[in-house]
Amino acid sequence: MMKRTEYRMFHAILTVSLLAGSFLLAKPMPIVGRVKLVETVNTLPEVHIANNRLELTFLPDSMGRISQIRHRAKQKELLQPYIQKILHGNPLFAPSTSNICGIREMFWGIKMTGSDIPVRLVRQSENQIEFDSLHYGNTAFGLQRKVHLVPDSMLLEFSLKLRNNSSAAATYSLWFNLTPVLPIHTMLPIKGGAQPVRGRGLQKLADEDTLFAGKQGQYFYAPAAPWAAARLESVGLLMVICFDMKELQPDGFFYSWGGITSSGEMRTFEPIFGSRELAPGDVCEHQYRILFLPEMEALRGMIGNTGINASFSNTELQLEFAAPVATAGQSVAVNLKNATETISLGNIRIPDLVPEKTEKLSLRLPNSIATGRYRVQLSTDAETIELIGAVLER
Amino acid sequence: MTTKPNNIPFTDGNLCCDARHRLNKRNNAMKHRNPLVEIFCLIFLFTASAFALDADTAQLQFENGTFTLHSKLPGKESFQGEIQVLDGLTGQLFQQAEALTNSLFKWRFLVSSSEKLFRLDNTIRNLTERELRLEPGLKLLVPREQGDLFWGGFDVLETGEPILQRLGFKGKTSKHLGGGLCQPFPVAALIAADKTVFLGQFQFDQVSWNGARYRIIDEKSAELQFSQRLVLAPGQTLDFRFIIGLTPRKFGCEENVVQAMYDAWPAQWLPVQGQDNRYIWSAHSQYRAWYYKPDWERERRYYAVVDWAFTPYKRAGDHWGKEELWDYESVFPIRPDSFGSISNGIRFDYTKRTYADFHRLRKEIFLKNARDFGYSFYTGMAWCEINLAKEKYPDAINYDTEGGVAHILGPWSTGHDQEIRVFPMGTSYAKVLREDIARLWKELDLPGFAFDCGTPGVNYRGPAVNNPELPGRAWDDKGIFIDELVAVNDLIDFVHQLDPDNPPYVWKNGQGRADYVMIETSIFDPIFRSWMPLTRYNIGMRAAVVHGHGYLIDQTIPNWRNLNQEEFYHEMAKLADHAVLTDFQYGVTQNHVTQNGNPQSIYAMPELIECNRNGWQALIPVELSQQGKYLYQARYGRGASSILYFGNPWPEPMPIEFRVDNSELGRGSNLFVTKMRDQATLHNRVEGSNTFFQDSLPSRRPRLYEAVINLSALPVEGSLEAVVSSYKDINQIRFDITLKGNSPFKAILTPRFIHRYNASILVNGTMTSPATPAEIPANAHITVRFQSDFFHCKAAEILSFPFVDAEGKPAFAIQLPAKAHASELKEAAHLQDYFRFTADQKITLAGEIPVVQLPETAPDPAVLITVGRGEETGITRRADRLELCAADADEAHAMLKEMAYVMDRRFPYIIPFGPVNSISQEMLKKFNMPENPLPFERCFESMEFAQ
Repeated sequence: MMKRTEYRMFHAILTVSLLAGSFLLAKPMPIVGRVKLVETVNTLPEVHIANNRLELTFLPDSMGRISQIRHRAKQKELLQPYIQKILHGNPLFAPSTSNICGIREMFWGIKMTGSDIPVRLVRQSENQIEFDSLHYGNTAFGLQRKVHLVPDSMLLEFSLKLRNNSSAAATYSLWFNLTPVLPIHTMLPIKGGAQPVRGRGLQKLADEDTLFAGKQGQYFYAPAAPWAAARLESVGLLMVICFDMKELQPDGFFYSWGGITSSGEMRTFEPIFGSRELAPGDVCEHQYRILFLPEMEALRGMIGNTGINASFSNTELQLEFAAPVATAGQSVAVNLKNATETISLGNIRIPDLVPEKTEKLSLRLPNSIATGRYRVQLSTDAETIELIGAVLER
Repeated sequence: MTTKPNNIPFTDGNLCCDARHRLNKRNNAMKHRNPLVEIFCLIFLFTASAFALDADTAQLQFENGTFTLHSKLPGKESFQGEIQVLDGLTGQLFQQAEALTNSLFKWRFLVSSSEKLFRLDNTIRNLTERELRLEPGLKLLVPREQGDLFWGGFDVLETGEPILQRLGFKGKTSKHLGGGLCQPFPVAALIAADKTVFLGQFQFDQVSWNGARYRIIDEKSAELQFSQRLVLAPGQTLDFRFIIGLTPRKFGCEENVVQAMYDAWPAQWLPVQGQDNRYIWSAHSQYRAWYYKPDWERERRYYAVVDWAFTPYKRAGDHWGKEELWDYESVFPIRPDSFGSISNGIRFDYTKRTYADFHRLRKEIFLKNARDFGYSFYTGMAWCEINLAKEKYPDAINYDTEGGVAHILGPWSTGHDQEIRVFPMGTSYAKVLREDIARLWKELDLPGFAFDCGTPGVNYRGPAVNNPELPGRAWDDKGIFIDELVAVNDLIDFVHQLDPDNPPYVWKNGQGRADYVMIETSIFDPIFRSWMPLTRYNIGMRAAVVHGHGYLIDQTIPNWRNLNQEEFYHEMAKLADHAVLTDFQYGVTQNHVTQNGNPQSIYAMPELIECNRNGWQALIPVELSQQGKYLYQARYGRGASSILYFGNPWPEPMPIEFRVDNSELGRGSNLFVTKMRDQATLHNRVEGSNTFFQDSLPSRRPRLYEAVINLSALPVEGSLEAVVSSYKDINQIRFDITLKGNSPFKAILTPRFIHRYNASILVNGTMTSPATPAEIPANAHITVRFQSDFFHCKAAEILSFPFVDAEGKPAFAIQLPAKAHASELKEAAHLQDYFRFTADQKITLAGEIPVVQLPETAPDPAVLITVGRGEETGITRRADRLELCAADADEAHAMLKEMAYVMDRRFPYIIPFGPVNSISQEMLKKFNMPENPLPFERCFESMEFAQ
C-alpha cells in the first residue's frame, strides 16, 4: 500500500517575506518582499512489508532503500532516518540533498551519481518485495533486488542480480553502508597479521583474528569471517549482516569510518564484496542477510543464522546462542585450538532457538591444559568456524 | 554630473568619464578633498564644536564627540550616538569628547553627505612616543521592536540575543580553494520594519579588521556599534573613514543598506576603465582561447573577450621566470603534460624546454594573441613555490590557518609545485612581484591580469607588519596583523598605476576592488546559493563571470541513464532556462559549459551585456500584483538608466501589474517600455512617486523593462499618463512618449544611457536643452532619439549587402587604403575569418575574399576599412560599398565586431552540444545531442514573440 508519512519536525511552506503593516501601528506602506526558496523535507512515497515482529519501510523513489525498520513490540526504530531535502519553490531547479541513511547497495569505487534515484517496483507481497533498475544508481549496472522478510523472524534475506547494461566490460564491487540508530558498538571480525587489502597494501590490526570496534578515522582490513555486526545500544539488539565467504573473494575487505556526525559518534561497519567483472549483458547473482539478535555482549561467530558469543571463566567455556528465526537445535563439536594442538571439549547440542531469546551453555574445561593461547572452534557437519576473540590463555 | 559631447547630462558619473578621471575620482573619494566642505566643517569645529549636515533622509548633528541622527522619514525619529576609541593595549575606553582629544591621540574628522549617507573622513594622530593600538568606532542607540533584524555583514539575523556581533573578516567562505573567505559587508545595520539604520565604512578601504555589534540595552532600546582597528607608530597620523546611514525600508531587507552604499558613492563599485574598455563587460572563454589555438570568430560568437591565462610560468612565485630560479627541484615531478602548462595547443613541457626558449615562446604567444583574446596573465599573488619562499622570501610567509584557511597548496597553479601562502605587500616577495608584474605588462603587452587565491580573512603577522608605512595594520590578542585583501587591493592599485590613462584591468577571482570578477563555481552547485547574495553585493556594479563546471548533470539529472531522449531533454531544458534566468538575476555571464546547445543563452547575450554596463543593483523597488510565486528578479542602473528584470519560471505566462517606486531609483519619475530589439509599446501611469504598468511575463524567458526618460517634476495634479513606444534599428533608437490629459508643466528631461549612442530630446518637435527645464504642454509628444556612434545605416542595409552569391559563396572584396597599417589589416583578417567560420560550419560555402590596397581598387561589392585616416567615422552603406571607418584600432575592433553581430542575423550559427565537463560522450551519443540543440525563442523581438 502506498501512503505518505508526515515528518513531524519539518513542514513544507513557502516563506513570503512580506510583513503586513496592518498589525503595526501607524506604519507607512508595507514592505514588499519577494518569494524566497525554502529547503523543506521531501516526503517520498513509501511501500511497507511486515511480519509480526518487524515492519519495513521502502522508498521506491530513492533506490528502493529500506528507510526504516521498526521493531513492533519495542515500538522502536532500528535505523537512522533517511532524510531528503529539496529546495522548494522554483519549478526549473529544485535541487535535493540527502543523508546516506537507509539500507541499499552501493558500488565501491564507482561514482554513483544517482544515489537517490527511483527504481521500479516489480512485485510485492506481504513479506516480499522486488525492485528493478536498468541503470542502478545511474551506473552501467542494472540491478534486481528481492527482499524477503522471513515470517515470524528478525531476518531479512536479500537476493541480487547485477547485469552489465553497458556496451563495454565493467567491474563492480558491492558495498554496504549500514546506518543503524545510534549509539552503536561495532564488531568487525578482522583477520590477524599483515594482510593485503585492495588498494591499501598490507594492513594489520593485530597478530591474531580479533574484533574491531572502530576508531576515529578510516580503516581498511581483511575480513576474518563473513559477517559484520553492531550492538544497537538504545534498543538492546545486535544488527548483523552476513553472507557467504565466496562473496568476499577475491579482494573483498571491511571498511570502518569513525567520527562525529550530526546524529552522534559513529563507527561504521561496512563490508565490501569482491570485485566482479562482467562482459556486456552478463549477469552475476549475490545473496546476503541482515538479521537482528537479542543483545549479547559480543558476537564472535555465526553458524548459518545463529549468532554465537563465547567467554571463559577459570573453569568453563560459556557459550551464548541466538537466532533471528526459529532454528532447530543442532549438534556442534567444540575444540580448543592453538598452533600446535587441538583439545576437544566434546559435543554440545545447541538447543532449539527462537527469535529474541538467547540460550546459554557452559562447557567444563579440562583440569590440565598446556600453557598457551587457545581459540575456540565450533564444527558442524557443514562447516567449522573459529570464534573471533574468544581466547583462553594458560 | 558629467556630460557627453552633445551635452546630454548623465546622472551617474560612471558612464562616460575617461579612465584617469575615474581613477582619480575613486582615489579622491577615498580622501575628503572638497575644500569648501572642509572649510565649512572646520569653521564649525573651531567655533562651536557642533554642526549639522543634511542628507536625503536624515540630518546629522555633531557636538563634542556625540552625534544625533535626525530622521526625515515619517515618524521623525532621532537617534543618539557617540564616538569612542578603545585602547587595545590598556583596555581603556575613551568616549565622546575624550575620544576626540586626550593625552594619547587626537581624532579629527570632516563630515560630508551623499544621497542617504553621511561620511566621516577621519584622521587620528598618535601624540605619544609609543605605539598605539586603537579601535575607533561609532555607537548609536536604536529603538527595539518586534521583528527587528541585525546585519553585521554576513547573515541577516533575528534580534533577541543579548549581543549579536561579527568581529573581523573570518567566518564565511566564497571561494572553493585556498580557504577563500567572503568579505563581510562592512556595516552594523538595524533592519526594522520601516527603515534601516546603520554604521559602517567603505568596503574597499584598506582596513584589516572591522567589527559590527548589536547589543540589547533594555526592552525598548539597543545599541549598534561599528569599529575598526588601527595601529599607529609614535607620532603617526592615519586616515580612516566611517559611514552613517538611514534609509526607508519599503522593499527587501539588507538590500536597502547595500543600495544606499552604491547610490552614494558609485565610483567605489565600478571598474576604473570605463564603458569603452573592451575586456571587462562581456563574457570569458574559460580556457578555449588560451589552452587551444584561439579562434577569433568562435570567441566572438560566444561574446567572449577575455581568457584566464593559467599558468604562464614554470615556478609559482616567479612570474617573470628568472634564469637563476629556472632549474630547481620541484616537490612534485615535472611531467611533459603538467597541469596548466599548455597554451595555444603547445605544451611548454618543462622537462625539456630551456629557459631561453620558454621566454621566446611565451612572448610570441602573448604578443600575438593577448590583446585579441584578452589573455589575463594568471597571477597567484599570495602563493609561492614553497622552497623558493623559504629560501628567498621567508619574511613574506603567511602562517595563518585560523578559520580553515589553507597555508600550503599543491600541486596547484603548476602541476609540480607545492605552494605556500605569502604576503604580497611590504615584503621581499612583494618587491619582486611588483617588478615582475611591471616587466610582464610591458614586455608581453598585456591587457590585464588575472588575480587568483587572495582573499580577506587571512592575517599576515610577519616582519612587514612592523612597518608603519604599510596600510591596514590592525591588532588582536595575538598582535599586529594585516589582512591579505589589503595587500591584494594594494597590488590592484599598483597594476592600475602602470598606465593611469589606460589602466590595465585586474580580473579577480573572489573579493577585492578589481575591475572584473570571477565567481568560481557552477550555479548548480549548492555552494553558489550559500555565497549569494553577499558575493554579488561585494561585486557591486562590476561585471562578473561564472567559471565552473556547468550543469553538473550527475547531480542535477542523476538518473539520466534511465531516461529516454524526451525525458532527458525535458530536464535539460529546465536547467538551461534556469541558467539563462540566473544570469540575469545576478548579472553574470557564463560560457560553453552551459551555452553549448543552449541558443537561448547566446541569444540573450546582448541584453545581458547591456544590463551589466548599466550596473547590477541590490534593491529592486518594484511591487508585483502577484505575490505567491517565485520569480527571478533583478535591477540594473538607476534613474533614467534603470532596467528591471523578471524571469517567470512557471509553465504559463504570468500577467502582472507593476508598481515601480521611483523614489528608490533616484530623483524624479521614470517612464518604462518593454525592452525589445525592434519595437514595443507600454502604457505607463505615474502617480506620485510610483510608475505603474501592466504586462505579461512570458514563461521561462527573461523579460526586461527599460526606463527611457526621467522627468524631474510632474504636473500639478501629481500624476501622469503616458504611452511609451520604442522603435529600434542599429543606427537609431527612438522612444516616443505620448502624454495624455496632463496639465502643462516644466521638467528637466533626462534620457537613459545607451552605450555608443547619443541622445537628443524633442518636445512636440522642438529640441530641448539638457539640464534645463523644458516646457511640456498638455498631451505633449516627447521623442527621445538616439543616434549610433557606429552605425550610419540600418540593419537591412548591412543584411542586404551581397556578402555571398546565390550559392552562398563569398562574393565581395575588402578594400584597404594604401600602405594599410596593422589595424586595417587585422580587421580585414577578422572579416575574412567570419566567412572562414561560416564555411567551416556549412552556413556558407568556402571562398576567397581578396584584400586589395589602394591604389588598386577592389571591384564592387566591397567592404572598405580605414582606421585613423581622418574620415568621418562610422559604418555606412553606399550602393555596393560598405564602409567601416574608425578613428583608432580599438574603435575599429569594436566596429567590426558590432557589424559582425548584425551579420549574424543573416548567417546565424547555433553552437551545438559538445563534450564539456558533465556532458560526456556517452550522454551525447545516447541522446543524440549534437544534432539536437535546445529550442529557443526570440524573446526580445516583438514581431516573433507577440504576447
